[in-house]
Amino acid sequence: MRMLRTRPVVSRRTLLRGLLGGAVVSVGLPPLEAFLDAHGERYLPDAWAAGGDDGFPRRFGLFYWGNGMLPDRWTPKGEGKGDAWALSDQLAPLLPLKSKISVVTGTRLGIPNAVPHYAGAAGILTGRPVIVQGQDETFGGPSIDQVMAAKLGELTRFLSLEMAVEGHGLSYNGPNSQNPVEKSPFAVFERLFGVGFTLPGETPIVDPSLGLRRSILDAVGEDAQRLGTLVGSADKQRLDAHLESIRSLEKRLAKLEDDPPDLAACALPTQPEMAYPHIEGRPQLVLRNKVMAELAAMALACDQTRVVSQWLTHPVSNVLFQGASAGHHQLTHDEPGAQPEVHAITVQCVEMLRDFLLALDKVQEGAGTLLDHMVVLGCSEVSLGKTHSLEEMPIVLAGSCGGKLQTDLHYRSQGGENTSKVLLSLTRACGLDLPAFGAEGGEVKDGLSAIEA
Amino acid sequence: MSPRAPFALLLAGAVILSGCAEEKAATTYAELEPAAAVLPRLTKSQYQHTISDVFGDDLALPAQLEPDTASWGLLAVGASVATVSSRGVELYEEAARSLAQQIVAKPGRLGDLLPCTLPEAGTVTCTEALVARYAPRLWRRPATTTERDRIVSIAQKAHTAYGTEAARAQYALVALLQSPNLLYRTELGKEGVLDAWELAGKLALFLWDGAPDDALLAKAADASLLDDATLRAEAERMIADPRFARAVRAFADQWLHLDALDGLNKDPNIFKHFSADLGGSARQESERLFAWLVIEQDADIAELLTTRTTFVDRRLAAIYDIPAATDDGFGQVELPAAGLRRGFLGQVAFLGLHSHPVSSSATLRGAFIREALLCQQVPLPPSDLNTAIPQPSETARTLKDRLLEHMSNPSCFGCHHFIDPPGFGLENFDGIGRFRSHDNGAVIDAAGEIDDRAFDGPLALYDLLAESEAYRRCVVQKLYGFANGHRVGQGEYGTLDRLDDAFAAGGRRLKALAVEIATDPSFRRIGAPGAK
Repeated sequence: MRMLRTRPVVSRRTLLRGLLGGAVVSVGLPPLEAFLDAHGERYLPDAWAAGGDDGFPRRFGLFYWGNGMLPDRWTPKGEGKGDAWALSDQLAPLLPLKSKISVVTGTRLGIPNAVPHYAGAAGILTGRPVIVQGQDETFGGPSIDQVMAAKLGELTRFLSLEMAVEGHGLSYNGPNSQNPVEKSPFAVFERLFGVGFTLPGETPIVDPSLGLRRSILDAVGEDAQRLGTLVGSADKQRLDAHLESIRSLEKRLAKLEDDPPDLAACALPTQPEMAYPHIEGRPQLVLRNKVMAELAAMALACDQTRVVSQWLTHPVSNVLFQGASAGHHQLTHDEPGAQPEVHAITVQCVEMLRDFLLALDKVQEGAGTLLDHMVVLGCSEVSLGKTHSLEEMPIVLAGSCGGKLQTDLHYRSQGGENTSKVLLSLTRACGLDLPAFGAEGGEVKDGLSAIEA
Repeated sequence: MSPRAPFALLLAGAVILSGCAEEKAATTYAELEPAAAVLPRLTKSQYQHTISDVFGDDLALPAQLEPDTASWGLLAVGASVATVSSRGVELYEEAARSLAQQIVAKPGRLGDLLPCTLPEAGTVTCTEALVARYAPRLWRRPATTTERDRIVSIAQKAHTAYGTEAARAQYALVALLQSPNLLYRTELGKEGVLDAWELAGKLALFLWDGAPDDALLAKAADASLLDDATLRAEAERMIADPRFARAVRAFADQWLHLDALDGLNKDPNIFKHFSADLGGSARQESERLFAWLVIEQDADIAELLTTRTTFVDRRLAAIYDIPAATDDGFGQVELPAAGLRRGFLGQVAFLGLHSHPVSSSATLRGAFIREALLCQQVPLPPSDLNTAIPQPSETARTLKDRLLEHMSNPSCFGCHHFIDPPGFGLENFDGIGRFRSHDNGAVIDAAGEIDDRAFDGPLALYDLLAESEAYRRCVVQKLYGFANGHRVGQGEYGTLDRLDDAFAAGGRRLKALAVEIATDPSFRRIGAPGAK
């Protein structure tokens, strides 16, 4: 057992209000002292041993927005650490977090720009070329969140959490296998904190349904396996992937059975509204983003999952931003001149990235914060939307993943290094031991040492 | 695969491919080379209908399930390509547990589920009876002994854990509902032909979008369904059943991209008629018109583009500037003979969806007509070009004039010349579908040409499209893809030609086409893995 001093900052007195068969059940929490030993120190469950050196698990976050930025107004001034660099016009909203972020500029995707936006999305998220099948496109491999989840998600109740503030996400398990996103904050809340959730300090209830669910998954897996022996090779691959997901769920249920998570920083977040209607035809992006960020923070703090992706908007999104005279994508192509409206939208996206990061940074874990124990990748599929450029890719990194990554750094790549190098470094910081990241022109075998600690 | 629309529909490259333009012989048709077997996952609506067919329609169906994705413009084809995601597996598990709990909780239901008299209650035999009764309808075939025994043993464990018969039934159901035998439609076949169970299941999913009923299962059990006359009689019976309407709507949703309407959004400062529920109304209008034409009228499919009949609520009536037939909900109306609005291309579901949030788009509309209605492939837009269309100017005030100016650039001409002109014909309708005579202060000229045939205004465009061979053949190709769950391959061109000739000769009626597709050897026969 590891021991660690903790200081929860979020109210522990929150009432658990879960919907059980339609009835609202309230359970008061025991006082914090109940979790602590005689010295005021707290025992950590075994699951944490799989984490970093300080006992906290490593987590990964992805924050994505569509349609890129304006490189001239994005790139920070100066290079290096600390005072050597200053935030740019478009990155200025990140000022309160400057000491916890790194900005990487000057990298490029090594894959061909075969399909506007989508090639870039596949490139930044998988390091692989997009696969074009007639009129349809798909990713050539898992997106970075699922690469991380395959390892980091092994032990948690949910493999990963995908949320879309507006539109859809691009979380792929592999070709033609896309994870659905949660669009309703209320549904996310119910999924994470409704039936099946246990707050720290509650006596774990012996739940025979967990074992039965595993037996059923076992039987279902056998059905899938048998079917796999009877079909062609392409369909066998689809069934194998299905089977793998069944096995993964089985494993995670087994883990829940013998060691439910019990973390001090965990508290029940505020229950979101049922709906956040559009105002003047504009979605309430800022509010929805904040509410989802709180849910993401507690999903991680309560160890319900260790991988979260937040899709603010998607590639080619034509959503109407506050103050914009037309849809975002249409503006990137048709707004003349210096594109002041596109600039204002990019700033809004960065403000929402800041809000997302602040929600993570607010959660105290030991001597640091949740954000310190993870890394968040903020990115988009192109740099300049107007030309779908895959040079000068926008990359913001936040958190050091427990000291494995540099912070307060602007690294500017001079030779147009491959963006995949950044992603390989992130996987290594999160404890994955990958020999390479990406494929074909997007493949790299070395990380970007400048951002590693 | 990509979610529908966003990536392929913008501006475009240069190649024009015809979806089904093989030369056909005068009287003989190329022999069928059956397509390889597919393994489609049930679409969301097929899963939901299966549940309500077997357990009644008073269950709260899962709010979220693995979403459907389109391939070649159809969710039915996407279902054979997509792989269930890791989150999808969690969702199917949650859905099975929630449904089983609800089913068992229904008053009086337990006796149905465990149809055993007292001395047998609580025995293994009782769960065996449950599996024997429900597997054929949920899995579209009986369970094997191994499969049955696995479920019996799970049910036994549940009984041991909870000590109730309800738990026994509940966990047997969770297992049945999560099985790949329910989630996938199989085409394993025998010697290249579907067996009677697989044929029955495929028929039910195609013609009812749901589960087979007892009558159909009986014909699978005694294999009489493999007899041509019996098969035709069953198909005829099925299209006369109310459940056929579900399949017709599912087809309309997929073919005409009506599912995308749930996300319809417009700037209300520009379009005063916009409200958050307009997309839902527009979807209903198109579904109602389609179902009415196909089922009640048994109409020529050309009428989808030319009819003056439609179904509107007050919201749509205001956009169309006509009186609503009823204050409450939807009513049937005739569009004014003097107006320019007709059929699906005059509906918000088309005009509003294939536009920008603040303006119309001849390009998006043209691309939809080419791809969905004519089965022509629109080339991918270029990646590294500045694709901005010119700003309005004195010489080019309307969108059409700006696009024509854009086309004066040779690198833009190739694609825009192909994509935009059908959209020019609809420029009299703004980005939400309201009629307008002017754009940006200048009179709209809605003339254009499509595949070297000139048209002057929307009415001429509707007729041109409705009577075109490309549209007729596209309908055949789309319904064939919807039924079979795969992209049409070369080995099936002869079959499509034959189906098309019968379709044309019979007055282009979708009901008859559905029966022809279901009874055609191509519906039953499967090629070796990897066959095209």
